[in-house]
Amino acid sequence: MIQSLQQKKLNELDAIELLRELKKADASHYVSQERMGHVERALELPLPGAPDEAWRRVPLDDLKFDERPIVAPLLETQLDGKIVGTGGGNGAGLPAGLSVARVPGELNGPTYDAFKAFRERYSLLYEQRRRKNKGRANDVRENKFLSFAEALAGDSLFIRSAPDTRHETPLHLSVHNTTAGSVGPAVVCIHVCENSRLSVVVDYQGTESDTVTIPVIKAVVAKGGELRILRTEKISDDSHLFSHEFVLIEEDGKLNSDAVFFGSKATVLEGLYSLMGRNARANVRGLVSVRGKQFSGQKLTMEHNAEHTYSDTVVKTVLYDAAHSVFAGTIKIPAGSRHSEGYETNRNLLLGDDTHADSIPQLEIIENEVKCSHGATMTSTVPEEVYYLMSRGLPEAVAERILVGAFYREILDQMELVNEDAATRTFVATALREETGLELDPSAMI
Amino acid sequence: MSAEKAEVDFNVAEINKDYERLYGFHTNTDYLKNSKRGVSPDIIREISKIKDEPEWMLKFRLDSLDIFNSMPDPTWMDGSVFDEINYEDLYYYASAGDKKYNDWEDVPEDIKDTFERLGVPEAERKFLAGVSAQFESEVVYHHLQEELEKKGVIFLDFDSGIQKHGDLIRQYIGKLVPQGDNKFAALNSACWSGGSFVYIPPGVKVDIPLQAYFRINAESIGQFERTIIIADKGASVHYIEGCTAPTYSKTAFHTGVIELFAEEDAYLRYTTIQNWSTNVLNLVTQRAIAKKNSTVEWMDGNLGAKTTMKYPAVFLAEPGARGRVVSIGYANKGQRQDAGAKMIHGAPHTTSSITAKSISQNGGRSSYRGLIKVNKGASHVKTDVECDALLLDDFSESDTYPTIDVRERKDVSVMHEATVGKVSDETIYYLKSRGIKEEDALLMVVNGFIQEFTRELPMEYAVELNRLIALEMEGSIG
Amino acid sequence: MNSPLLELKGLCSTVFSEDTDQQIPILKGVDLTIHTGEIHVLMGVNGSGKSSLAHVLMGHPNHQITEGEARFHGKPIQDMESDERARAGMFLAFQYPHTIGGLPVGTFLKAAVEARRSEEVPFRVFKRELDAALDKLGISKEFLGRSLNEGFSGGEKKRNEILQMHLLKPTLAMLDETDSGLDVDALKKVFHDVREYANEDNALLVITHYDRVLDYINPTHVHIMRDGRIVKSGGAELSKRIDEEGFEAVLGVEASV
Repeated sequence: MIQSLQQKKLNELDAIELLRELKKADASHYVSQERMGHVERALELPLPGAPDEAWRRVPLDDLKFDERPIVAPLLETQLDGKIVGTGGGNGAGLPAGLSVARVPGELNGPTYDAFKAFRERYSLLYEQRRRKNKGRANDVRENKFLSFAEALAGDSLFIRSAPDTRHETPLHLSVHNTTAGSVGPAVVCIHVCENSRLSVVVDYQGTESDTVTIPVIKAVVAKGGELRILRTEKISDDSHLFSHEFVLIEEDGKLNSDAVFFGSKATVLEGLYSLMGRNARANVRGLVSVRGKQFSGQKLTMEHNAEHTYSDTVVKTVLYDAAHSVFAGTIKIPAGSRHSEGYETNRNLLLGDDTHADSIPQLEIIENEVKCSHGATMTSTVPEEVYYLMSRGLPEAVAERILVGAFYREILDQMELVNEDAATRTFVATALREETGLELDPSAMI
Repeated sequence: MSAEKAEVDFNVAEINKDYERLYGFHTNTDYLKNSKRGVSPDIIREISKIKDEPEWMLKFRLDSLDIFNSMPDPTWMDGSVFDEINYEDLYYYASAGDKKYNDWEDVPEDIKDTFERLGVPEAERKFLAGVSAQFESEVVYHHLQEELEKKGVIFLDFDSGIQKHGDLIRQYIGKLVPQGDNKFAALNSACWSGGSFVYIPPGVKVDIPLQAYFRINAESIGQFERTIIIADKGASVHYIEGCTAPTYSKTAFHTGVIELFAEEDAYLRYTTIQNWSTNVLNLVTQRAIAKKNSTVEWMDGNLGAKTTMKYPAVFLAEPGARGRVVSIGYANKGQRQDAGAKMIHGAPHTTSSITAKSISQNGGRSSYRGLIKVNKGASHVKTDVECDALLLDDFSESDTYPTIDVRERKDVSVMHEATVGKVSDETIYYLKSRGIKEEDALLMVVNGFIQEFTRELPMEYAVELNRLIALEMEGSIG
Repeated sequence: MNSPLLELKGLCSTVFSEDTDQQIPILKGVDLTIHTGEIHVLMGVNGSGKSSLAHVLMGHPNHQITEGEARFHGKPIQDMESDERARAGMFLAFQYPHTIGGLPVGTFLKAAVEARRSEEVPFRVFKRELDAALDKLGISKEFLGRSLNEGFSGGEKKRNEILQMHLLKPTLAMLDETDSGLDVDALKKVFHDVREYANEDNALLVITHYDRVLDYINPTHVHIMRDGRIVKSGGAELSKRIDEEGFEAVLGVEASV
């Protein structure tokens, strides 16, 4: 966060002042053209909504976005429960090949070069993907929240795994807005270099009342690299989380993206995953559990921008009480991406009497040498299945719980990092118990 | 942008050339009532006066015109689709001949000619229950078999319906598609001419399909048919409408409004195969209401037109109602088929299914756009959607844009599945290894792909559809 | 001796792999001569090239003849499309027949019969022949209304292939592992029907992985294939040796390397 802007409100700022402050804060000339472009959009765009089919369903009416003081959320990295990376100097407590740096504050020498390389690669790939994709009427490319974060998140974080290094123990990154009533932007850049493997758990957790957090994650998975990333979200019922992600995956690269979200007044995950090189693969797994009057939305776009690419997206949502969820998933296969396979599944389990679930699975295909499908279901627990369990002597309530538990477990079992990381396992089990009363024994989750 | 547009125009010209050869016919017709171009309150008054309409209908039209003028184009489609419409350039009313014919003998030769070319053989004509043929904007030939009349079935062109059953129509018109529902519905409500009015009395089962043929046959004519079909308690009817159009250089414009009412225990099926020439903009609002234990089915085939936008809907209003849509779209060079279906479950114990198949070729674009909505209180609902797209080459396009909105949980089951792909080389090889030529093999697979639609058609339509697809696919190999 | 039905000389081929975008050599010089009235059994372990040989002969789009000669009825087949080869009298019963939703079996069979004979076959004539074939093979007529191979069991698919063979009356029928995936009863039935088909005017090339087929069919010739070549040929006695001693013993030590 740029110090001079701390606690200001968006409605007190104008573009000239903002640009001046951005330049002042940028001793290392990190401010890019692109970022300056975001300033204008952050100020002038309306809150996201129609015609975007996902955003127009997000409740933003009493957000009072422009009137919130802007603060810097806490960005903290931990390994095995110990704070590592920034603060105590570069690389403190980190294994060889893994680096974490504040941008622009800690950019110097090799870190500066590494970040520059990342920026260049990211911009190049992003431009390539933009050219590949033919414009569609329902493409919404601009978003006030995204621009706000890009323009105002002064202190971003840069995580890099060096070529040929493997990091199986997940690096925990906590993004935490600790100021009630405020809005906190954050940008995190991740570079998984050639043939390296990086595991990251991003925790969006906090109990403060009425916060808005707007994180942006930008990642490049280089040739032969693998990014395993898990996001967990649990914030207060009157808070908001609007997260944006861009992951660009190069030849033979792999993305394993998992998310466990527990909803809030409005939680949105907008992700763009772009398979940029031959044999690039992405597996996306999401679990959303919402209750009360919570809202949670997932807007995921999977682009197959090269031949022989593969993606499989599965998002399961459980709705209690009067909760509302939106799943909007799009698979795009432009001309030329032959032999690509794209799959998408959205399963919704409706358990509350006043729940509202929206599912918008979309396909945009301009290549015929492909395998592509999507499916969506919305059901309550299936009476036949309940009956089957009851016929084996289980009371109805127990049968219901078993079936709901199975619905959760089926997707949790597929999330590598949930199963490997004890802290995450405990978090998920505890959160599930608190939110739903379900007892999913952590040891049984392996 | 302009270069892109020029290319599209060029494509249209080229397709038209083909179309002329394949089925082009352009009968010389004496347009007795060519109205002025553009639309204004004066023109509306003139249309209404010529048709000798009651005051309420004139008011309906004028109100609709106000609504039309105040509405912007839809924003959810690419704007370019509407750019080419010049509302000032369209004729809003044209009528060949000033009388309606009750007997085939009385139909003018050039119109009979058109029928011949449309491929309605004599034997079939006799077999068919009644041929209501909309030639130009107005129904000129109308034949109803006596036994239907005896049963109390009303099968009239919409104008005659207004004259003879105005009070009945007044209760129903605009109930499902309000004037302000969308810009094109408003335009239709202001300028409608032609269409059918069908009423099936309680308990009457019409076991032969009622058929109507539509054509556009004058340059820049907007055709605005309006159809209302009411199947009263326990009644049963199958209505078929088919369209073909001759070739033109300027954009023709078709915007219809169809409203179907299925009362308790009724069965109502509406089948349409539209094969407009590839310069037509085809924007139709089709909506139905299904009451207790009734069934409404839309069978929707879209082959022609430059752009089609069509989303047949069923509002399942009472327990036991069933809705079904089976559709196919075929987008060839320069064409865009944006079609789909909507099912609104407004009551418990309702079921619906949508089967949408699309085929894209030579750069054509097919889109499925659909909505499944389950309102609160609509428990015990089952709905299945299946969308399959076939891309016959690697530069054609397919989109799937379904929306599912569910607000009830009790015993609700919603399933949506979509696939996109090509005809597999292995499949073609398998068929070829049995001696079947490649183009025949491909046609076989395509016909198999849309079989769920064709098997719902009366035999002669199924045969014609397969023939049309064979023509479309001509030269698509090598 | 009459002129050969099929004659292969030094046949080499490659297959295109979509995963690697490369041509992979498969057949490395196959010599084989088949006359009418003969039943050839082609054996070999997985990957020896026997199924590829069938697909090379049938004209699979991914298989390419790179060297050598293949003649059917004396004519080179290299430049013929699959459908031309089929109309000329070749037939391949697929190991994995394709499923085509919405294409009724009856419609497909009529089209194939008409293609093979290069003439329209009146419905009545076709129906008579079809009924006879169905009766003979004991297949229920209900089967005709179903989509081609859709929801067919493994056995049904294989019987459908044999039904096609009976209707199309090829002069050279190749059976690609038709025995695989069948239980003993189905195997008996299918190969009974195959045997029924064989006569003095046609020839069979039965490709199999297991020697159990030899219990149901009496070959005139038996070939063993390895690494893209036919490495041993003989009469029925060879099959008996394989039955008793196994591949390795028959081929000698080098087979197990």
